[in-house]
Amino acid sequence: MRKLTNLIINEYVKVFAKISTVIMLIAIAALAGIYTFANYQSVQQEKRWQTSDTSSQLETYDQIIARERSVQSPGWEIRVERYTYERDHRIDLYDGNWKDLAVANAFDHKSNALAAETESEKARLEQAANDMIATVEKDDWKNYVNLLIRLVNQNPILSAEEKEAQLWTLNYRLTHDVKPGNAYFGYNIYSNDDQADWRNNALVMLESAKQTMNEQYAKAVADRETNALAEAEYAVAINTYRLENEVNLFTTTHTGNQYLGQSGKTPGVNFWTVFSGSANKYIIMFIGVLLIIVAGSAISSEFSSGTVKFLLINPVKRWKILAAKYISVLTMAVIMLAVFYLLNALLTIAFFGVTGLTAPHLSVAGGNVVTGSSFLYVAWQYLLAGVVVVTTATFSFSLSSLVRNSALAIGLGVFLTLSGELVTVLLAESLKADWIRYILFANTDLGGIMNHSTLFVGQTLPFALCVIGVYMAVFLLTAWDGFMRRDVR
Amino acid sequence: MDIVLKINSLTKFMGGRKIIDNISFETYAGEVFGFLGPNGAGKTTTIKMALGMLDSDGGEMEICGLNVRKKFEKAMVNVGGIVENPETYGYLTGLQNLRQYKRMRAGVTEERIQEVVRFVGLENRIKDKVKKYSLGMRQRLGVAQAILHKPKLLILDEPTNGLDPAGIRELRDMLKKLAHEDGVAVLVSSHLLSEMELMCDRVGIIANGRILGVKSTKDLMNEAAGNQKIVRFTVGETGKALAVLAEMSLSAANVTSQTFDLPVESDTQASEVNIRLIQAGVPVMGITPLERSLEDIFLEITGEGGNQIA
Ligand SMILES: Nc1ncnc2c1ncn2[C@@H]1O[C@H](COP(=O)(O)OP(=O)(O)OP(=O)(O)O)[C@@H](O)[C@H]1O
Ligand SMILES: [Mg+2]
Repeated sequence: MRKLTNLIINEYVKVFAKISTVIMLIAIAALAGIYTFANYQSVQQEKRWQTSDTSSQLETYDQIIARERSVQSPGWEIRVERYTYERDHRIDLYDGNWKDLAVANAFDHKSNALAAETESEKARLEQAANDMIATVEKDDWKNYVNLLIRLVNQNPILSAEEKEAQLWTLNYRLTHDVKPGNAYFGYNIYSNDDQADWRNNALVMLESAKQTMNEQYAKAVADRETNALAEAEYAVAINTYRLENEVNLFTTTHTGNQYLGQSGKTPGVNFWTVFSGSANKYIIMFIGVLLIIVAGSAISSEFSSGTVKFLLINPVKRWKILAAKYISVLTMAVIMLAVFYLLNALLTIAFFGVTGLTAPHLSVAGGNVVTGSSFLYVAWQYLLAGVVVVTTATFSFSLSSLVRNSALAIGLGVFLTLSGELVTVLLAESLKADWIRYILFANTDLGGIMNHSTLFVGQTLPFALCVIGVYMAVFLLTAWDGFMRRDVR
Repeated sequence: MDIVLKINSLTKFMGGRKIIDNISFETYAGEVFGFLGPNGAGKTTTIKMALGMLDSDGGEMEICGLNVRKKFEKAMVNVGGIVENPETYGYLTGLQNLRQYKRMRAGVTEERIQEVVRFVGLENRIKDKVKKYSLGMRQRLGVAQAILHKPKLLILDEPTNGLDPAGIRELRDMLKKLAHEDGVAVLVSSHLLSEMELMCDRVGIIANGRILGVKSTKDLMNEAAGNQKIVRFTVGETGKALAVLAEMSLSAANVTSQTFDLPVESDTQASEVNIRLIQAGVPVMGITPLERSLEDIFLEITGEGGNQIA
C-alpha cells in the first residue's frame, strides 16, 4: 500500500513538473475567468440595450406604422391606430409593462368588435376596450386586473377549469401586488430588489403551463404524446410552489422546460445560471483534454523515452506501476473538478455577487415539490460531466499502453472527445437504428440525460452508466493486457 | 563464492531470428564481470531478459537464488543498474530523479542520496534539470541511481559511454572498490575492451548471441602472450617485399606503401625474413614487435563479428 502511494506520488511529481501541464492548468483557470466575464459582459450589454433612449423608440414606432400602411395586411387600420396611440402616449416599446399589454389587449378587443356577429356582443367588446384604455390613462393597474376578472367571469367560451386557473392568477396579482406584464421583457431580470417582477414571471409561465395542460390533456389521450404534458405539469408544481413559498431564485434539473423561465433555471442571469452553466460539458471538456494528455502519455512516453527501464528495474510489479498511473489519472480528475468547481463559484460570486446564494434546488417527486441544495446539484452536474472526462481519459490510457507514440494516444483521445457526440448524433439521425444507443457517446451526455433531454427515448441514467461501465472495462483490460505483456525494446 | 546472477540457457527469438542462443553464465559476489561483445552481439538483450524487461523464449535466470519470473519483487530488491542508457526524466532535476527512485526502493534516506551525489561528483548540478546535463553527467546520475540502495548485483550496460578519462578512471576505481571491498557482484558490458582489461576480474565474450567463452582476465592475457607474435616491418617498397614473403609462403596483414604486419612464430623467424628481404634488395628501415592486447584476442575470437554486424 505504501509502495502504491509512493508510486502515485511519483506520477504526480512527473505530471506537475512538466511545463505543458502548468500551461494547461493556467488555460483552464483562464477559461473559467473568461466564461464568467463573458456572462457578465452580456448582462452589461443587455442593460445598455434596455435603457435605449425614447427618441429612437419613437422612430421605431414611426417605422412600424409606415410599414403597416404600405403592406396593408388584414386588420392594418386597427394596428396603425394602436401604434399611433402607443407612440402618442409614450408607452415604452420594450419593457412590456402592463400598459403595453393593456393597450394591445384593448385594440384586440376593438378588432374583435369589428368582427362581432351581434350588436350586443360588439357593444360588450367595445365597452371592454374603452374600459381598458381608461385604466391605462388613469394609470390604475388594479382596476385593469379587476376588469380582466370581470371579463373572465363573463367569457362564455372558457371552461370552469380555465376560468379557475385565470382567476387564481389575477387574484394573486391583486393580493400580492403584482402588476401584469410580459413574462420575458416585463420581468426585469437584472434587478433583484423588484420582488414583484419574479412573481409576474412565475404567474405568466404558470398560466401558460396550465393552458398547455388543458390543451395537451385532450391531445395526449389521442396521441399519447405525454412529454409536453409532463413538462407543463412539472412547471405548474414548481411555479405554484414558488409563488406560495416566496421562492425567487432556484435551480432545477428540467433545463429544457419552457415553462420554467430562461433556460429553465432561475429566470434571468444570476449566480445560479452562471454557476450551474459552468458545469457545461464543453467547458469541462478542457479538463478532459488535460487528462487525456496526462493519460495518453502516461505509459507511451515512458517507453518512447526509455524511462520505462528506470521503472522496471525496481522491485515493483508491473501491475502496480499501471495501477498507480491510472489511480493518479482518476484522482487528478476528481481534484481538478473540485478545484474548478470552487474556482467557478468564487469567480461567479466576484462578478455577480452573493444574491441568491441560498436559492434552493426544486424538483418534483410524486406530484410534490422537493427542495434540496443547489450547490449539491451543481456538484452533481460536475460529477456527471466528469464521467465523460474520465472515460475518454481511460480510452487514451489504454492506447498509451499499446503504442509508443504519445501524440497518437493523445490525438485520438482528443479527436474522440471533440467528435464523438456529434458523430453519434449524425449516425442516429441518418441510420435511425436502435443499436446506436449502445455507442459510448450516445450515453456520455449524462447532464443532459439527467435533465431529460436524450437522444433516444427512454435513455435513463442507469442505462447510460452501465454502457459507460462496459466501455471502461474494455479500455482498462486493454491497458492492463498491453502493459503486462509489453516488451522493453 | 556466492553466485549472485545465474543465467541458464537463455534463448530469444526476435523478428524470426535467434538473437540469443542458449546463453549461460554466472557472476559472483565480489567480482567485476565483463560482458564483452561487438555491436549487436546481444549484450543488452541478455541483460533485459535477466531483469524481466523482455520475455525470453527459453531458459531461466536467478538473482541471489530467486527466480526473476516467479519472485520478481524479491529478486529485484537486490538489483541496481543502467540498461542501455542512463534513463532519467529530463524535465526533472537530478535530485527529483533520485527521489523518484527512492520512493520505489525501501530504506533509501535523504542522507544516502546526498552521499551518493557527492560520490559521483554531481553536488553542484544536482538541482538542475537533467535535460541540461551533458551525456557524462547523465551517466554519473545513472550510476548514482544504480548504487543508491546498495544493491548486491550492479548491472551497468556500457557505463563508460560519454565519460571523460577522469570519469572513467573514477568509475573503474569505484566498481573495483564496490566489488572487492563491499562484495558486490558487478556486471559491466562494453565493447571498449582496453578498459575492461583494467577493471574486470572475469570476462564473458559474446558474439552473434552466443557465449564464446568465459575466462579470467589473467588467463586471457596469458593466452595472448603464449600465442603468435605480430611484427611490423617498415620497408622501402612493400610490393617487392610481398613477393619475397610469397616465396617463403608467408602472408602479411595491414599492408600500406611502407609497412606491413607479419605474424611470426618466434624472433628467429622474424630475423630470417629480415635477411631474405635485404638479400632481395628490399631496404628494411625498422622492425617493431606489436603488443597483442585483449582487443586483438577479442577480434580474433569473435572473428567476423568484430567488424561485421551479424
Ligand atoms: N526490437 C528489436 N527487434 C528485432 N531485433 C532486435 C531488436 N532489438 C535488438 N534486436 C537485435 O538483437 C541483436 C542484439 O541486440 P543488442 O542490443 O542486445 O546488442 P548489444 O550487444 O547490446 O549491442 P551494442 O553493443 O550495440 O549495444 C541485434 O542483432 C539486434 O539487431
Ligand atoms: Mg547494447
